[in-house]
Amino acid sequence: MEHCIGWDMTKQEQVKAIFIEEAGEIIEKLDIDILRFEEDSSDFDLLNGIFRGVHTLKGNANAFGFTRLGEFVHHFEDVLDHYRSSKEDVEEHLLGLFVDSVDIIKEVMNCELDAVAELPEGYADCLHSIKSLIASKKNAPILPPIEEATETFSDLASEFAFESVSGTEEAVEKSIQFHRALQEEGLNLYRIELTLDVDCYKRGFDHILFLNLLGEKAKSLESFFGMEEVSALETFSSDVNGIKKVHVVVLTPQTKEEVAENFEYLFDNEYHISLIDPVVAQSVIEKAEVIEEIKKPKAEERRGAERVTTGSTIRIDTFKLDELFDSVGELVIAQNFIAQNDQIRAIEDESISRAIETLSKITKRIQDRVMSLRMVAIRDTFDKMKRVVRDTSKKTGKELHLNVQGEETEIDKTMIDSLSDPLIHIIRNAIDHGLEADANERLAAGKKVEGNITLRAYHKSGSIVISVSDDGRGINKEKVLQKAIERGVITGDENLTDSQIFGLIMQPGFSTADTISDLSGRGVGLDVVKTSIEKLRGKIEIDSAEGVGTTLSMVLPLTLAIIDGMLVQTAGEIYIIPTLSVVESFRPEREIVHVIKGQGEFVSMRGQHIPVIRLSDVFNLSTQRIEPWEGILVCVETEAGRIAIMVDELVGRQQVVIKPLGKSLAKLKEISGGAILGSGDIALILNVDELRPLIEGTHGTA
Amino acid sequence: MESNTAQSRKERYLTFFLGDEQYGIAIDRIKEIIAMMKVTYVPKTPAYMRGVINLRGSIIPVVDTRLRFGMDPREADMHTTVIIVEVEKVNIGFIVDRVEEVASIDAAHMGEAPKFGSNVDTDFICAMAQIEENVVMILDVLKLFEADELVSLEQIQKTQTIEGE
Repeated sequence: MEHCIGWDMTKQEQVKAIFIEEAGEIIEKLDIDILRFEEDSSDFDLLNGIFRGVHTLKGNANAFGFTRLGEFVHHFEDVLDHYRSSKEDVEEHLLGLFVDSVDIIKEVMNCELDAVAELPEGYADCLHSIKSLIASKKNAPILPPIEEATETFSDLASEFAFESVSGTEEAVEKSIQFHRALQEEGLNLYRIELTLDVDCYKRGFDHILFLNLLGEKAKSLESFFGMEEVSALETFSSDVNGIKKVHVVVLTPQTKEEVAENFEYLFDNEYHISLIDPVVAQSVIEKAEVIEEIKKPKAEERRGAERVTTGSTIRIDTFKLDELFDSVGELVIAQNFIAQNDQIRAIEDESISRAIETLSKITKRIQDRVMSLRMVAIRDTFDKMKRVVRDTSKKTGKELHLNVQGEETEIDKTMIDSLSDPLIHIIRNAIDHGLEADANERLAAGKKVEGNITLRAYHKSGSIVISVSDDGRGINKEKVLQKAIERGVITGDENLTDSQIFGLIMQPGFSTADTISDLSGRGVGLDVVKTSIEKLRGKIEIDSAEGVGTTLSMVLPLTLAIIDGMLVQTAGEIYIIPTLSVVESFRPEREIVHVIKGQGEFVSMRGQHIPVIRLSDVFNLSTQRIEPWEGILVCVETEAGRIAIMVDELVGRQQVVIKPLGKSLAKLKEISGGAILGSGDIALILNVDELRPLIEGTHGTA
Repeated sequence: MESNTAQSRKERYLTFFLGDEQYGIAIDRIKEIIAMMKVTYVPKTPAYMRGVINLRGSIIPVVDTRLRFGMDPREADMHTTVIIVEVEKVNIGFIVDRVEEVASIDAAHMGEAPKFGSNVDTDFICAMAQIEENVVMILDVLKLFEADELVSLEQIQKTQTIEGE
């Protein structure tokens, strides 16, 4: 983990910053784990994981004076600990409480960070539920988990009650002898002495946490707390007092260095680890008579499992990655230049052409690898969405089942961050407005009461599609049209395709509507979603069938840096049209081109009248005027419907690296960037959505 | 080049010519100087915005400094140079007729810019300096930049009627 903390911070501030970062990570993980646990409450390992997280949080929260967080977490930990140690199944009705608790933890953490005085809503209720749960459990006759406890640790509670204070040294000796008897090949016996400073808690140290960590790997562990220096309860203050002397005897396969890792929060003089030589042990054992048969712990199995570590990774500054990416982009351009250079081609030497071919293969491979560096699986984002689904389901009172597909699909890292919000919005919409509110309505339609929401990610012809489907009522086209006319979004004379009609619900005019709920759903702020997806150079497709359901798909480019472009030429300049928006390109028959007086040119295609935009006119390029049937029309889908861009000719199709044009040209709406072609020339990339200055209002009575 | 013997505040400037007039830009702003190269026309920009160039893989806008200052356009020749200036991590190229030299100018030899009397928009000129018998107009690059970013729509529309290339 890297921490970039200035030296001007005090040590405590540094540690606090670390704590806050860690707490954030822990809480994020808790959030995901608790939902998984809700799905499968028999997963004991998961419960253990949650417990560990909560435990760490508790110790740290108290150390930094986050008492409200500390208190809550403390009680929650008790609950978890109960189920963990009793191996009792968590009652189903309690799972909700668990999830709520994690919510509260999240909120309290925010309150603590912002130093807000009031407690989050539900804090008291939730805490009360937890406390009463513990109380009821404590009274219930539970079989004490004695066997489990003695396997790994001696019961910690009894350690606190250790009476013979002066006899600590003796007890430790005894323990060492006892453990020697248990020592096997591959296990090391350590004696650890801690002499703690008063402020050790503030540095994030926690007795119990550390013993747990040690105990996880250990075969056997015994600890002796020096209680003599701890004052009586009445005068006890956690700031000053603490258990300062701790002796630990541990039998573990870990090396001394590994054991020492547990003490990262301590100063070097505060701990002392000594390896006890097994040879000496022999003689001691003879004297010692206390040899008990101890069951082989399960720890060994667990150790085996933990040894399968995940592949090693390094964190890289994304800026460095971007630089690498830029350089590779240049490499590709340079390689293209060589491959397409006429003079080099003219050499016609086999070895040269072979070398060029090898070069292009390697370049392609490097490009692919570098691209893949930026890609991460969408799983984490989907995991977060599970939470959204659950919450929305609770809020709306709709029962539903979430299906997740394609979690492995990889997507550009820079895109992931911008995807969460739109996705949350779409999911909420799907549940709130997409699914029928009335269970009877579902039953009448022959569907199960439980609704289905499907979250899916997949590749489709060079793009990544992330879709959210519901099996609700679907979109009522008539109502949408009616609403759109009412709101003045359309005039009603347009001949719109289904997808264009569905597209209307994403128009800004729709979102401000106050009577959204009498529409067949949707429309709340979808224009915002649309805008943010378009920023990522993606688009939204809506597919819906009344009574069957709706699918909202976000079609995104594989990466933000490269697009698949169609190269067109007009007036001697080359422009790039993103292939994503191209519907078709053709040379029109003379008969289908119409000129409407004062309204420009249209081309009639399958009953649609598509406006023709002459690129040379829009861009004021000096060129010989040609007629549409002498040029090429590239039909593209835009926000405002289809348009046909008229160009002189098509040049080709290729993947291009998008480069910004610089701040001073950023205001140019019609151009979204530039790309460097194999020849070294620059071609500008068209933003087709802005190529419609005269279309609106020119529809009229077409 | 003069040597920095005196302790006076001497700053170094790259000087260049536009027509017969000599101008200077503080050297710490200048990233590099390159020969004129192929410029890709960018539509819907003011006439002085000549377009963009490919500088080793980066796309950089270039300004025709003559047009920027309201002077007549001129065909590029072997002396035509692009000065790449960097301000706040943004690069921009200025096409000039000819680069002269790097001159150290003593602050004492700097005078205030005149308010009128030249066919140059005086806003961009922050000082006048005397190098031997020549008068050099020192340009405020920051002002050039700001003015450039604030290209208003009106201006664009106005210049649209002017032929692009």
